[in-house]
Amino acid sequence: MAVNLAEPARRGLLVGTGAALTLSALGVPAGWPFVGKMYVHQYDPQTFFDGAETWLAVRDDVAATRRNVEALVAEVSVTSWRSDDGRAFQRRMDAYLADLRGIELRAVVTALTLYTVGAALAAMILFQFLVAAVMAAVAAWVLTAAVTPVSLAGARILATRSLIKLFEGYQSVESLLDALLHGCAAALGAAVAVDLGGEAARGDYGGVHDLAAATFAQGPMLVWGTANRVERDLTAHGLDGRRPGSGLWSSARAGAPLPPGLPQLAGAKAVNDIATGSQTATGRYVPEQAADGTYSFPWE
Amino acid sequence: MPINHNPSTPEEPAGPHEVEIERERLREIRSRLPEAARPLDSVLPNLVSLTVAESAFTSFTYALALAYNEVEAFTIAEVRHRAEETERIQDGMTASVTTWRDAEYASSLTWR
Repeated sequence: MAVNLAEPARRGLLVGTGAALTLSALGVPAGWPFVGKMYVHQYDPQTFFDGAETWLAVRDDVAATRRNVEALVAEVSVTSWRSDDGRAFQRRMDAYLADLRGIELRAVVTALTLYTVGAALAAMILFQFLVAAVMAAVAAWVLTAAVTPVSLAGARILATRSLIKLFEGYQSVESLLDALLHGCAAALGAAVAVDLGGEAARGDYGGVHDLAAATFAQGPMLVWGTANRVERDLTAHGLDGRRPGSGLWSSARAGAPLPPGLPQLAGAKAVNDIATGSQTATGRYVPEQAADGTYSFPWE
Repeated sequence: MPINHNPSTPEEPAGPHEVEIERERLREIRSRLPEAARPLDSVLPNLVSLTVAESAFTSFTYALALAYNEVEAFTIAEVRHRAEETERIQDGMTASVTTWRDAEYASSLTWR
């Protein structure tokens, strides 16, 4: 699938923002909450489809290795090699092959998860595009109604009501996406846990050590990713123009307007984010990944 | 007398012919193991080239970003270990073949 869906995501945001601007100029501010949301839901599902294909290729490579080694080992049958040496060799190869099977299974689960996520994000982008189109239609309708003050007043009320309804629909779709993504996270977590549990039951704690080491090695990516996410969330709240009432950034003055200038700054930053495809402040500090898959720590 | 007391020394074979076969087989497996494990080599570059981890944090819910990063890092560590293990297994087999040859050599010369 080679459809570039990042483009419709950007266009959706642009159309939605344009509609929200027009609407608020006409006295209907109900369009604004969409803008922050649409900014958050900027995805490039292609990354995930490509990722899924890579994981399937990984599975193929590992499976090929396992089949080759299995065939090779099968030639040393236990009956003809009755020594301790032979049995030790057999045990060792069995463990090796079991580990390869574990990697295969995990690669398939990961590939499926990435496909699911990619499809869900693509659906979200298309849905968002439709929402933006509806907003544009509402804006155009209020604009035509603005010929007389009386019809404008009626149109404002109707537009606000329909936008509130639309936002409720948007939020319910968003929570569906959220639930799906959490399910995917659980599937990935289980793919690791099942493996570790199985190994630990066999008395092999190598996997647990691997996981601990891997988590530590992943440190720079976790730090950067979290900073990147915080930046995006703050930008979205800035676009909203109001203090957030829920989540990590909630404050006692929830709903109160932000200091003047801040939403405009957030808007300019968001435009730059969308144009360059990465977060303005943290985007360029992506940690470099070495050929062996590790990240270098700043003090290294 | 160079009798090898290594516990991994194979039990006495039924006859000289069998020893010959076992050794041949072992040597063949050892020489073909790198070839058999070759597909594993392309796994690491494949995983490293992925950019999913970078876009995961702003694309996914935080939980999924963490879970994905964990899976990727864990798999990279596992694959690297399997590659190292392939080499260790080869070394082990080299030792076995040498032990075997030494034992046979010793027995054919000065066994009393």
